[in-house]
Amino acid sequence: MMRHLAILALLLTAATPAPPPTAALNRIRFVVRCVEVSGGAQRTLYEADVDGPPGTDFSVRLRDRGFTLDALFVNELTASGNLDVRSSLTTRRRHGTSSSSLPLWEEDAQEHRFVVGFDQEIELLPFGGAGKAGLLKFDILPERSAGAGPMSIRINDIHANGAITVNAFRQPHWYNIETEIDEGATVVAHASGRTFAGNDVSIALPALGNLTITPRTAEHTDPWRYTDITLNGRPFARGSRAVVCRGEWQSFPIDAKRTLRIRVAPEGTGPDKGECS
Amino acid sequence: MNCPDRETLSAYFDGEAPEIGEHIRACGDCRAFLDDLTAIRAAVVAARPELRSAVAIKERRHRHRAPRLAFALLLLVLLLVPALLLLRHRERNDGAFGNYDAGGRAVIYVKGRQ
Repeated sequence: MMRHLAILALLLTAATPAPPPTAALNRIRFVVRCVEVSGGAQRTLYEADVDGPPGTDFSVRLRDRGFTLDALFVNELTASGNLDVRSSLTTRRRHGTSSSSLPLWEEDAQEHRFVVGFDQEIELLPFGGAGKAGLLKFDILPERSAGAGPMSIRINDIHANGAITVNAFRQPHWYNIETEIDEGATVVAHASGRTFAGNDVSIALPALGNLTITPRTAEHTDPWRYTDITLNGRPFARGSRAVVCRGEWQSFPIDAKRTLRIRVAPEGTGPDKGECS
Repeated sequence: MNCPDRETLSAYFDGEAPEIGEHIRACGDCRAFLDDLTAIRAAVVAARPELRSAVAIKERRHRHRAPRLAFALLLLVLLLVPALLLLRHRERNDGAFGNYDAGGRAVIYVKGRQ
């Protein structure tokens, strides 16, 4: 009897596939699903799988004649194994016609930040609720995945007829910022900081004041990185792209003797590894 | 002064051709002609009282013209306003996804997986 049980246990062990080691789940997959809910029934209109190393970002775009949605998801894996998601939503809705017969649009922009576990999902309602034809929603499900190589994306446009687009991309999230004041060939002041894309960092430079530097999250179609700089609350440089590209120093003359130099370098890239063309 | 012909003046007397009203206010000859017509009508009515009702009907018809015009305008407005509203609504979001549009602000949240 004991012998039979031992054989049975051996067979069961052999039949059950061994769970993959946790270390192999080194990637994150986002399943993005656009679903119509109408009369209690669900119909999937569009599906995309974004798969890549942690830090892979993606955008969801909906283009309709009277409505557009641009949703950007910037993701970071936290130490506790959850996802720190920064999301920006921009919607535009047709709002009639002007007296000059030009189309009028109402635009809304939102910024959100939330922590998502791998047993949770993000739900996005682009229209805010259900319309005459039902509810349209995007379900975004993060999953752990295994694999190697560059990020990948699989798209299945079932009924959206090209109106929905999902793009995946990798971009720097954190930036190291260095500033200094040069007088001739001498550095007379130096200060540095670190910030997340889209967030301000304030740096105090003696004899000059407070510099606020904001490296902006780039559009996925745009290889350049842009930066806004204010000095003591006043605009100093706006949309300055050379500051960030390749992490090069950029000089701004302050007066006849002094020059302010700023370098905004994406973390993890050296001066020769920038993504700017 | 270019006076309207008798036929037009007669039409004005019957409550038509309002475009010559300004001329008549400024023209003594035309006013005199209209005064004659008024006197003739009064004389006819005096001689044949049974014709008073016919004259009265004509006058009443003139009086009723303004309300009828107002009613027509009201009807036009009632028809046009919904048509314009419908057109405006179609302009708001008439795309393929328009019927999903609740007109609200986009909403995003995290929930437990189902």
